Amino acid sequence: MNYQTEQFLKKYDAVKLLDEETLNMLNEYASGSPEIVQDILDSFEPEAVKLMDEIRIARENEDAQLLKTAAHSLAGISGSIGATRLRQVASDTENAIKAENIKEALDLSEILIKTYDELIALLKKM
Amino acid sequence: MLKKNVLIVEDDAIIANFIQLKLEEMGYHVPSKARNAKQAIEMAEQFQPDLILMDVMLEGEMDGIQAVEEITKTLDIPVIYLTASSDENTIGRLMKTEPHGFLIKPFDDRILSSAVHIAVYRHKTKKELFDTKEMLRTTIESIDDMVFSIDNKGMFTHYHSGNKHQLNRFQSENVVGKSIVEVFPAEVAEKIQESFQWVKDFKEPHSVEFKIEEKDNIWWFRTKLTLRKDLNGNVPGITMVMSDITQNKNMHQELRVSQDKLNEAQNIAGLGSCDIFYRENKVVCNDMYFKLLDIDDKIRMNNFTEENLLEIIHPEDRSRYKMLKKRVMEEEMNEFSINFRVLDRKANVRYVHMAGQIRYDKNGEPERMTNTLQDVTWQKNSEKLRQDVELARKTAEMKQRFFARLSHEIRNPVNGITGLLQLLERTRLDEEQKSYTQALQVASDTLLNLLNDVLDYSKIESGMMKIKPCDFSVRKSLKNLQTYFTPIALEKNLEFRYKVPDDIPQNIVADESKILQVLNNLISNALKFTRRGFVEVRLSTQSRVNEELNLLVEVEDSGSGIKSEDQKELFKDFSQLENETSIKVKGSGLGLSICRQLVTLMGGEIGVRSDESKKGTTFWFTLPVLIAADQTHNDEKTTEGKETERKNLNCSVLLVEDMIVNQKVIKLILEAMGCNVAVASNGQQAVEMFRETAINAFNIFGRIHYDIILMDQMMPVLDGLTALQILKKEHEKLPPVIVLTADESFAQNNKYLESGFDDCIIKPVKTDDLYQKIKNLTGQIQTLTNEEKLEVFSLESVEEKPVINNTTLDLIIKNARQNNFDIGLLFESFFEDMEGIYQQSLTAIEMNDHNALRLIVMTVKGLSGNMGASQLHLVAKLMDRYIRNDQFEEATALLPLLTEKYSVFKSTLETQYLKAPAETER
Repeated sequence: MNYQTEQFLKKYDAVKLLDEETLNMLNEYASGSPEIVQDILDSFEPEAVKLMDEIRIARENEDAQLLKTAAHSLAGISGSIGATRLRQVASDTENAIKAENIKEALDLSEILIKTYDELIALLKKM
Repeated sequence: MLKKNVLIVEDDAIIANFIQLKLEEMGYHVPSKARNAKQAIEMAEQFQPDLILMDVMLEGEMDGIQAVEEITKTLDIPVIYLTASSDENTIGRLMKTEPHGFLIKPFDDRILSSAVHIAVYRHKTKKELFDTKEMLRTTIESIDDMVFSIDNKGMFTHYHSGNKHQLNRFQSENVVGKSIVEVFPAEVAEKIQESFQWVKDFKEPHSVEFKIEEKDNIWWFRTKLTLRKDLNGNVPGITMVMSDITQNKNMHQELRVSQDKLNEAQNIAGLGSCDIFYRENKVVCNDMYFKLLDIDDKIRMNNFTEENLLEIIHPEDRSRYKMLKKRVMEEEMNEFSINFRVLDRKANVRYVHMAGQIRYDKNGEPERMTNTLQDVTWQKNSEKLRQDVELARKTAEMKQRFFARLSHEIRNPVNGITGLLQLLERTRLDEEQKSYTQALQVASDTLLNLLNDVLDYSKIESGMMKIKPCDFSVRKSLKNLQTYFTPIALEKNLEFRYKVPDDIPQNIVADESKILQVLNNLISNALKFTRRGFVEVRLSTQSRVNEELNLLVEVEDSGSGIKSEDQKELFKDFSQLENETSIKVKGSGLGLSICRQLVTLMGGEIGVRSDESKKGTTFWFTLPVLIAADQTHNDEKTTEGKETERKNLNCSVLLVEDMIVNQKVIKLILEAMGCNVAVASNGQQAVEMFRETAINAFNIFGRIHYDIILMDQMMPVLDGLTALQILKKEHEKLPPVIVLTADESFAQNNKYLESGFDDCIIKPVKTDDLYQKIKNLTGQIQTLTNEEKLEVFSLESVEEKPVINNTTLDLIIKNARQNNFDIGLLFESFFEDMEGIYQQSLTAIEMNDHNALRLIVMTVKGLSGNMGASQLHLVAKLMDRYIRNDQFEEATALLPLLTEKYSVFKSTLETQYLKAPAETER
């Protein structure tokens, strides 16, 4: 693990994996229908899975464009459910590609995969 | 003169010689003599004589008769037989050859002579007749016209038609032997018969034109009837030559139509044109020319001269015009233009622009001049209009500044006094000094109050008082009032209380400060005039429609009441009542009057109820207010995040977002805010959904289904920006579009605005942000009526509308006709209503009277909408929207345009619809 990655990991540790406030807010809006939020969370995984596949393929083929779009969308849906850490990593990945920092983007995408796995594990527990 | 040749065929030489001698004496020439038939034939061919004298009995096989038969096969030569026998057989035979005669031998020279002369003469006339007939035949056959011969009784005896005519009635078999009424339709036959009679009576040719309608076509004919005379001078009949002039007529018609179109175009453009043909001394002007010069008498119109023009030109401009003309002619200029004023018959001044072109001949003399006139009064006027509005606005501004300065100048010293007094009181004062300062305090308070009253009064009177509605809490305001007045009440041992029932909403939209001012005044008065008991403030709902609430505020006291005759005087200026205990009322007497003015300004009513027997007085006022959209408690501490439920934004949102999770989350948030959400997964879907709703919704209100569009920037298939562009191209009226983006740089520096979006939200979506932005963008819309909810229109779209909505106007006209109502009156009353608008508007602007201007604009809106004045209507709508959104300046800036569109409508209406009915039915 290089220095940069270490720094990244430190940064992301400080970010919540899943921010309860968001989900609480959504629950409030759903006022009395908890299945609505559950439905949202249930829709998260299939979409995220698709995106993660794209990211894996992009990494293999060193396809920067695909990595960028997948990371962008992943950041989007993560943000929506309050998966703040994943959102941050995905967003940073996207920005790295925009800045033409392919190496960094690839490093980040590794962290991305790890973060994703952690998130899924957490969601399954809920 | 050539001698006539005569061929002699006679086998008897002596007789032959004799005849020859005689002929030669008569002046004829005998080229040859034949003795037998064969010779006769040969010589006839060779000499082609003018006459043959043929002996019947000849040498040889053929006799004279046979010879003649042979000759006349190919030659047309008159023959006189010479025969000895007079038997019937011979005569019969020779007559068959149609000779000119025969002479029975012996005959003397006189007989011979007369026979020859007659024969030659007859032949000559026969030839002439043949030639004439031939000429006639060929003439007739070479013209395409139809030639009819009509006898005295009106029957067609002959008919010739160069070209077979399409119409059946003009085929030979249907003409010859028939009468005029049988061949021609009734009305046409009548015309022809009249013409026929004319020709017979006046003995001169007569022409008539008529049309025949058949086979869905219209045919035009022109016919000329001429008398035919016989040798005795009798009239055996009439010759009628008829031409099919349908094409000609059509060309004329087309020409007339295009001339009419030109005329109409010139009319609409307000362009008058005049052609002067110098050599022919002819002047031809179009209708508009005379209209512009306000000339309608035929005499001048038919003999229009430059003098006539000069008479109409404004005296001050005449010399300028003359000088220009002189210069133009002297320098042989081909073009010129000039502006001058003309005076119409009512001596009104109009500005016209004249442009001319002149053609000169070789000698430099003018041949032809065309000049056009155009009324440019409105261009001049619209300058003036703008200046008027500017002036009115400046006046209003000046008044405003004056009042601001005045208030400031007056209050300053008084505040100074009060302030210093307070400082003074804190210093060491002895009893005497203290009593003075206290008195001074009271005096200065009174002074300040009086001044405030006066200032308020003046401000209201000059229209400078503005109502500024805002959201505020009634209960809080009343609580504050209670806090303020309770001590004062307690001092007099009075109870001060207020009642607000539950159905009064938490927050309302109204001008808080003015309401408090009124309440202040009423409560103070109540406290002043009540010695025992209470003062109570009550709120209640008088009526309620949706968000509009009619609030009733009552201030009741348990005082001594007010006599009914005094009640009437209360709200008048400067009125004061002295109550029974003769306590002099402190105050300017303006208080209630100002209350009345303020309440009226806010759209309410004020009054008083007092029953002397029961004692007590209740002052009341009503106010139309709005229930605030935001009914949250405004506490001292602003809470972050947790707000109580936001009630209805009550709007329809089109959410365009590709990720399902995001769709669901944002939809949830929006629905919690009271929105209806429709979702599209990409730009393409959004465009399609929009197309559908546009088609469906247009038929109902002409409004769009969605109040707002939330569009993600990055999407597959069609991204946000492209989708936006397509939507803008396809739909004139588009609701506001907020773009959702994760890209901060897009949100910064208004980049999203440049791309055409109305606002921008950075992902992830935060509720407050979303709420505020939607509220802002749809906020204005909430003040619009349902119908206008999303019409996005602008000044450009004014020009795109027609001046007159013909459908509307045609309906009106149809309606009027059905109800036997005079359209002219209808238009007149419209014009009357509109005439005063401009002046009224200026006054309203000067007085800064928003309400008055709004009323005027709404009137125009309504009237113009009814009359189908589309452009005018749209301008009025624009002005109305501005006024409602408190954009008074923008509204007033549109006044010149409003006036202009009115005059355009008026003149177009006059040109198009108020022509004489006969002209419009073509």
